[in-house]
Amino acid sequence: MLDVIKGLLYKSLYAIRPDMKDYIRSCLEGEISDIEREILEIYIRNENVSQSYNVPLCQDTGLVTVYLSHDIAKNITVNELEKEIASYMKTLNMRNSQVTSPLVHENMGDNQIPFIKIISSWQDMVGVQVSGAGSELQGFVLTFTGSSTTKDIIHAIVPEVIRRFPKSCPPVMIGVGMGGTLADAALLSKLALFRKIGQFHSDEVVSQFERDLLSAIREQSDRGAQGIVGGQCGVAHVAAEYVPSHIAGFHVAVSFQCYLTRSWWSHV
Amino acid sequence: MFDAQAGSRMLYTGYLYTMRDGTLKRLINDSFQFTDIFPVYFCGPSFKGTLPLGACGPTTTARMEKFFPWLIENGFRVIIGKGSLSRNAIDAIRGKMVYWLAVGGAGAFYGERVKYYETVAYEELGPEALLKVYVEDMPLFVGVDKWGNKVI
Repeated sequence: MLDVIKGLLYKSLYAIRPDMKDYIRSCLEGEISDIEREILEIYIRNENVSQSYNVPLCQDTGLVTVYLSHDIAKNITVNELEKEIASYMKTLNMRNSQVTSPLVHENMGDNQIPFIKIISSWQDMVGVQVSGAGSELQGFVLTFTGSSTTKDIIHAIVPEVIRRFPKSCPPVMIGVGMGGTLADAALLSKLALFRKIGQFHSDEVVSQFERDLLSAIREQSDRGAQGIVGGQCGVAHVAAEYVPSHIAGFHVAVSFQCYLTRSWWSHV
Repeated sequence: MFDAQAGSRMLYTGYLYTMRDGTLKRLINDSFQFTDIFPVYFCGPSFKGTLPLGACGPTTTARMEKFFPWLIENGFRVIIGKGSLSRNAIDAIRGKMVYWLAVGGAGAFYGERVKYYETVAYEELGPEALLKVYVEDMPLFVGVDKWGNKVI
């Protein structure tokens, strides 16, 4: 299991997820501006250079989170796993991106504390997510009342998404988490990023919400790769996850992931 | 190069200073005096791997907007980073400073363009140290030109 996690972490830092590469290639086959074309071509070349020189795709190797399904977590000691992963991280040429705390901005120098989360809704599955600041810091949460409709949610979310996603190295994947507590909504927005580009939710209502949100963002924004004005390829996909919510209202959290799509998972 | 129009593409060869949040905070606190002026590249390199600076793509420029008045006062005319700027920031730099775009998330690609570097100050800040970097054929786009026109 440790080897699987190591493999996912390596890929998160050194490979673009195949579904995003397919999306980039489909953009390159379409009618796009010269600037957007050159940006997308640089993305593909970046992966070749990264693997040739053993240098991560992006200098912001960010914060690492490992997700374990509950059945896998039963058989491991979290502290031991943290140590093993932290030790492996030292071999991956990651930047020292962590400071001691939000209040004491002191670089920790040697990196890196991986965050480990146990996911009750997953089975026989592990995931690795690398969060760089460009995407991570654009995430947000909005709160709605129990009488809010799907239309209300989309109406409120879209302007925020449009303001934020161009800073997240588009084409982006957008994860939406709804319901539960504030923490649940935020976590669900992260788990949604493990979905494949182009794959909508199995629940028909949620699937329609994802499609409507994606359409609204694309219709109302003219930003493409890297946030270029007049671009065609700004948003690759929207994926939403939910849990039951309180009768009085609910939170909707939104997370972004850049073109590197650094969310890799595997069944174990 | 100050006169290039928004959307123009260029290959830059020459020196850059790297700066980001921590660097700029220290520079201002210390009233740091520059003897040479080069374009400012908002970047925090990874420093590891087989390239001189490791991966070193641009970071989000919008976070540095509050430092723009200080950069202008100190004679800087070109900033390089990624992502859009606020309308206020574009108004503030019009005619005084231009904004070039590097491709965010392409850290290894830009790392290959770095030929050598020296640490000027704040080594203890790690990736936020002030570096003087020599790059060759670094692909860039004019994001905001000197007239305030933009493509980002």
